[in-house]
Amino acid sequence: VLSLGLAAVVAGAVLCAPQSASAAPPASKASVTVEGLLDAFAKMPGLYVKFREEKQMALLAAPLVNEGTIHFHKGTLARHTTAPMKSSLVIFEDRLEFGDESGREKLDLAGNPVVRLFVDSFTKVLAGDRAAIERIYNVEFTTTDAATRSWKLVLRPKLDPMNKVIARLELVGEDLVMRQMIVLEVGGDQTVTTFSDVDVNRSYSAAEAKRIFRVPGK
Amino acid sequence: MKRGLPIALGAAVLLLMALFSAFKLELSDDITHFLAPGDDPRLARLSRRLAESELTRTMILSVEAEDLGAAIGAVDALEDELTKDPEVAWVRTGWNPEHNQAFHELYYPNRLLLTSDDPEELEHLLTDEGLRGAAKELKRQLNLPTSAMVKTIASEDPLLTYVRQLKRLEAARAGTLGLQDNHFVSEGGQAIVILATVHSPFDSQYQRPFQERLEATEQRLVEERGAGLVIEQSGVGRFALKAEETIRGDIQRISFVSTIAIILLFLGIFRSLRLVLLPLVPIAFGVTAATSVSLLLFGSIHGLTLAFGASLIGIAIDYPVHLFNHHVLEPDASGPGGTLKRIRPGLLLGALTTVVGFAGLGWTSFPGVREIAVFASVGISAALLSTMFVLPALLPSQPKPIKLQQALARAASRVLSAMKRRRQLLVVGPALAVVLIVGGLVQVEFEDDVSALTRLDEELMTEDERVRGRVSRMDAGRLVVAVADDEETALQRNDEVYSRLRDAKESGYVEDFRSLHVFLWSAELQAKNRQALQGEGVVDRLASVYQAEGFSARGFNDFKDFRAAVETIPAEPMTYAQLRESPLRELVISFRTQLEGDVGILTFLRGVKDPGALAASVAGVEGVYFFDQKKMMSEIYSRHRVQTLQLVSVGLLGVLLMLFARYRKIKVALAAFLPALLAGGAALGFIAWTGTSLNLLHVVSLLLVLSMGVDYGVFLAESHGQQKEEAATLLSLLIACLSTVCAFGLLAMSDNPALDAIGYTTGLGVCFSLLLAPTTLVLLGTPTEEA
Repeated sequence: VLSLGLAAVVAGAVLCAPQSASAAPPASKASVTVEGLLDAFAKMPGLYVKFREEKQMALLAAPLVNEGTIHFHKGTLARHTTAPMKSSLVIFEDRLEFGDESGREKLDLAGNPVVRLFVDSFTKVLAGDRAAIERIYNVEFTTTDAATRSWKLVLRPKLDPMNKVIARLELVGEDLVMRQMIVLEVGGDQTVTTFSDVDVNRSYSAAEAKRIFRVPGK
Repeated sequence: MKRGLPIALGAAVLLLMALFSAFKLELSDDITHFLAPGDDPRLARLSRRLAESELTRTMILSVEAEDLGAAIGAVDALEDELTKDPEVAWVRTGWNPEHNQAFHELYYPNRLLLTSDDPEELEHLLTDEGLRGAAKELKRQLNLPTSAMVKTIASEDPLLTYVRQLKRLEAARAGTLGLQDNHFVSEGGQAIVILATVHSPFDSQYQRPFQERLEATEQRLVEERGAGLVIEQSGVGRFALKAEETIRGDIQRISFVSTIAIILLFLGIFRSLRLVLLPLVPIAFGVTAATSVSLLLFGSIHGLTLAFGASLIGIAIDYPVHLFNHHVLEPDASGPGGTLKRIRPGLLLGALTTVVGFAGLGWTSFPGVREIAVFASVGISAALLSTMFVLPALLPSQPKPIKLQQALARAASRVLSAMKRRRQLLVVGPALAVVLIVGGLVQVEFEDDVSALTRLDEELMTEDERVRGRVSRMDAGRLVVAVADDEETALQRNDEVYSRLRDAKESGYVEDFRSLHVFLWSAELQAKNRQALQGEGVVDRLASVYQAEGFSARGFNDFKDFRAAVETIPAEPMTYAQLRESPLRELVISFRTQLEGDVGILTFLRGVKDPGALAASVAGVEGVYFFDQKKMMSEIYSRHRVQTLQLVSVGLLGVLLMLFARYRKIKVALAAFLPALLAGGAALGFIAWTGTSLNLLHVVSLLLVLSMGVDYGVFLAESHGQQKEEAATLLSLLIACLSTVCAFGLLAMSDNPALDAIGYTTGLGVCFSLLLAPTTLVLLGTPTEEA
């Protein structure tokens, strides 16, 4: 259960990455396709993006709102929340680290195959690996407005235990730019993340990477 | 018929004693036997329990390959083999996912009983302020990666008691080891296997074949999977086997050499196979009589008593040697009985002084040492009696003169005459002995660490440390133990131990610890949690505070779930029996030990930085001890050493008084007494002077030296003034000394520090005694007597 909970957040964090690829210049004015999207994701050199996340939960009278930045560089993803409270989540190849004002935690991905499944499955999205994506998800891609080249990619997990936690992921964008991601949980709670200030050509110097891709205070 | 009667009677008595010993023999190895009454016997029992415990029986195997996947594959193959091995009690190669379910089934229904282990914190938690803090924490948790799990239980567990318990388990489940595909892996990339053997690692009967099977399996795996596979081990078993192998090898080798040497010596001097074998008769009488009497008095014999006691009785070999020598050199016309009559006063006095010396040990406060005192005293007495009443009947009436023996006797006579002519020069001997004693006293250092008596194999040691470093094992032999008459009291004390060790860890006194408290609290503490949560208005106040903090009553099912959970908190607390009977058994079983009527709850420690501060941190809790096995054993050995030395001194005083009572002349009494004292002191002084630390075995060996030294002095004093008798006695002493050097002194050839200590002390001591006995006698003897 612990792993599944973690996986839900990993989903939120990792899936932010594809919108970065959206900033890549469209290859043509032809209609957006899932192949084109995934190809753009695969070519992304680095990413910086601001996010605003609204968590709507049955337990809470009002949604929890988080704001911050997401960074992606050489396979490592960092999600730094700046408001209302500072916290950081960094996903490395072999582990996941989380920290806030109350402390820090580390999760060994090798020892948690369930979380590894979630992380790997989203990595496949980042890699543009359609075959792998279709092994994990049922994929539905629709264009919602031909004029604005709007689209919606719906991913429904089909592997256990992902499908016990997440009902579906909805990625919404225009052209090759992703604007919003919705994670709908099986229990009815949902998290809506809106993206802005996307920079898909962001490169990180060694010093920057060292500073950004870590949980502060370590 | 006259000679046959004592032989028949002697044989019958010997046979009866041997049969009695064989049928009644019950060996004890209870370490408490060698503790003074002031020592806490529970700790001693604990020490013994630890020697047999799972902690000692646990082994770690580290498997390294070209990549971690290959190492894990090899671990799986190794696990298959090990689980089939009859000597393997259990094997763990990783975290068993089934434990997650077992953990949930056991702890989730009991979660509210384990809300807080700190009564003050519990009280605060249920105040409005505390509840506000809990609500904030829940909100924080809902923003964490673990929020999905938290959401599923928040309605029934808004205080997140289950999450806290999960975290406690998470910290305890594998120590510093990581997991890869549910396998334990070290930070260095080795896959780790943890296993326990069924029998003690000190039980070579089981340990040796197990190690051989393990080695064969390892070799097969290396052959199958390539030379890159390296399997290393950490555990007590291989050290125990190696030590036993070394000691056994040394003893066999040295025994062979010494037996041949003694046979050649006796054959050379007496030229008779009969006289080679007959000295064994008094030894056989001594050991069987001592065993029989000890069994009658004590019901059983400690293994150490048998070992040390038999060695002490070994000095009785001097009695037949003395008799044979006189009988062959100066046979009495009436036969062996007549010869015996001549030397009887010396034999009696020599044996009596030895018995008095050993009996002095009887005043010790250590029951085990008292047993040794009785064993050795009875043994020496029986050996003497058999020398006096059985041996003469077995000796030839008119032995053939032996040229070598006669030549040696003449030489001894010339030496004695020369010594008497140059009395002034003889002062050098005792003076040198005094110099050695003083020099040794200045230099002396004592080593009471029992482990120093064994030399550990360097290669094994390095490998063991390497593997231990990979898994950060808890320290062997250092722990905190909460002891009580019943389990509940022991658990209550363990609750307190946990709290104090947590503080000690924060203070840096200890690096880490593993406690049963992670899994189980006392019934009293659990009841406090239940009573607090079921207090009036707690659920209503929680509902009110949580809503004020932004939670939705509807999301919490109007807090009905929590109310139901509080109302149905189990009336009965979680118990150790529940854990023991669950799949989590293997995680908790090593924390509890039965100490006869008492229950001991153990807390294992790692990296004790400040033993004194750690001991102080748990001091004052009734029934709780910081147990340092090594330190405890060192203290026990130190007290043994000191008390044995004190009692030996008292015994020596008694011996001096006896000698004075016999000779009525202080000079003669001193002539019989001083050689032993000077020789024993000089032997230890020399050893200390060479930089060797003295241990308990040096002191025990000193007893041998003193006993034999007094015998030498007495034998010479008894024959003083009769030139031929003096020469024969001096030759007796030479043979006795050489036989002792062969029997004990050759042990100095051993690499084992314990055998080495016995060998050097005894070998040097008897040689010094041989030199000093005639010297002192001549120096203190009166010219009239010499004439």
